[in-house]
Amino acid sequence: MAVEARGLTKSFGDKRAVNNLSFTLEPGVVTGFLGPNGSGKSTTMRLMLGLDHGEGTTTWDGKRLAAHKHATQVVGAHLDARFFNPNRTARAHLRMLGAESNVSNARVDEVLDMVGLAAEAKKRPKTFSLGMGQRLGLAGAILAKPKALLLDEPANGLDPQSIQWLRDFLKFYASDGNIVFVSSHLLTEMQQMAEHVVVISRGSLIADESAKSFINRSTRNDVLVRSPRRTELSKALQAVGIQAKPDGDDGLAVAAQDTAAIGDVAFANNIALHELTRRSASLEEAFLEMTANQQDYATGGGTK
Amino acid sequence: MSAALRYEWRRISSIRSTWILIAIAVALSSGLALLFSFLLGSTADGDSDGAEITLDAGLIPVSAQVAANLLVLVVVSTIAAQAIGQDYRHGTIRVTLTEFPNRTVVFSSKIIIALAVITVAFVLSLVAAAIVLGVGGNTTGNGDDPLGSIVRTWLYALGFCAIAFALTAITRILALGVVIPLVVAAVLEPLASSLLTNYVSWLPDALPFTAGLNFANGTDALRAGLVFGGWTFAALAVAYVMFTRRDA
Repeated sequence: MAVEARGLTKSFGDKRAVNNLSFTLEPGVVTGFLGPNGSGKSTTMRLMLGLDHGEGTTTWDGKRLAAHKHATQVVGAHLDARFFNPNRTARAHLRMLGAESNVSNARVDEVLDMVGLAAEAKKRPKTFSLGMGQRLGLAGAILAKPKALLLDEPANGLDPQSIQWLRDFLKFYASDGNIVFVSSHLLTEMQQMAEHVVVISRGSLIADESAKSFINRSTRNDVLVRSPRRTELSKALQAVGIQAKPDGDDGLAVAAQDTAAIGDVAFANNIALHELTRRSASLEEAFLEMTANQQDYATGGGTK
Repeated sequence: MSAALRYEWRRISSIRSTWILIAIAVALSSGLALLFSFLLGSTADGDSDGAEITLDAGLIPVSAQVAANLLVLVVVSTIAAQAIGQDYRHGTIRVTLTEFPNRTVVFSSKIIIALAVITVAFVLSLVAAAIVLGVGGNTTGNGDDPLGSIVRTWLYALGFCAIAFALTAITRILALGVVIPLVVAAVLEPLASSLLTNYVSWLPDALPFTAGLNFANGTDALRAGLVFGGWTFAALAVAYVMFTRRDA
């Protein structure tokens, strides 16, 4: 199954929240959905699910969601950790959600156990922490074993162990041939989880590619060279067309990825090297670079 | 549709407030019947010098009217308001509409299950009131066409609750769905009728809950029923259009 979003557009008054957004979600990998606060990620997910009305279409295995007999077997969505009635027990909540696909009580208990809420099954979630609410929401999303998961910030409120569990679970779910589309502002986590990224800013598409190629596009990928004869090395590199700039006390940041070429230049000029390290940008650095000056809610930058 | 009905039944039956409200409705009907029985007995004693009033054909219709008393209706209409209001209050409307993208199915299943539960509450309240009145041995009322009287009263109760449901869907605020019908029925309509009847003679007949009561009581039942049904249908139609067209 593939999910195709085409021309998704949504305005709130004069503000264009989502602007002609198109992308395709493929099974087998976790796709990260990234964007600054207010960039339209949640609105996009709601448009995909038909919860918000706008322009454009989203097809699930070639059909609109409403055209499927059992929507819960097509997509499981978790949009907010507080979307439950606080007075309905966790088990009753899942039994209610399971009604669409006639999910068995055994499956409800299995899912509760899977997300670590077996002991809380008979409790009313009004006392649940944010992390427990996330687990209950995830349990609801996977209940009918859907072919696609849409998760909006599912790691919010989770402790490090739970985040690691979530990461492993989502990677496993995707590897089983399913689509996993997950938004998060925890970019370090996303880097470990997502093989593909869809990046938006101010409602428009910035990138729809593998996480690796997205990171490689960053100008922050360079090589660090440390040498006691930094100035001479810099001139030698420039002589062969390699740009370098000072980095630290005795280092050079070289805008090239070929460490061998740099080593050869140093050797040819009889310059000793103390370090020659390729530095790759992180997903966070690449993301910040690509979305620079595009945040709707950026701070002034000053501190008092 | 059956899956949506099953979902809605599990939704409505898995919260305690549904059962509590039904219990309150039954208790309230019993209490009102007891009060009615007591007042009737006192009056009868005075009027007939201790003559015993026996059970008659008016028992059931009177019990139905007790079960559809405004106070009881406010309680059971809360069940209808909760059917959609709780979904908005707790954000679960987005969960529901993700499971059932067809909003017509969701709207229909909510109103069907809510009115079915309210019917059960009405029947239980009616039976409780009838038992109290029967034990008291007191009843009055028109014994003609008891079945028609019960059906009309039941339909009035359903219409009242459907309006509460519709107002909650329109405002997305549970409390307004309960309070607005109460205020209109208990305050605004009697006030409008008394103040404006001299100027607009047809007004009382056109007011929704006045017409509903006339329909239940069998006063010009056909016309009153059409007026009340029209108001109920209009409220539901507006609610349906807004439910299907607005963002969840």
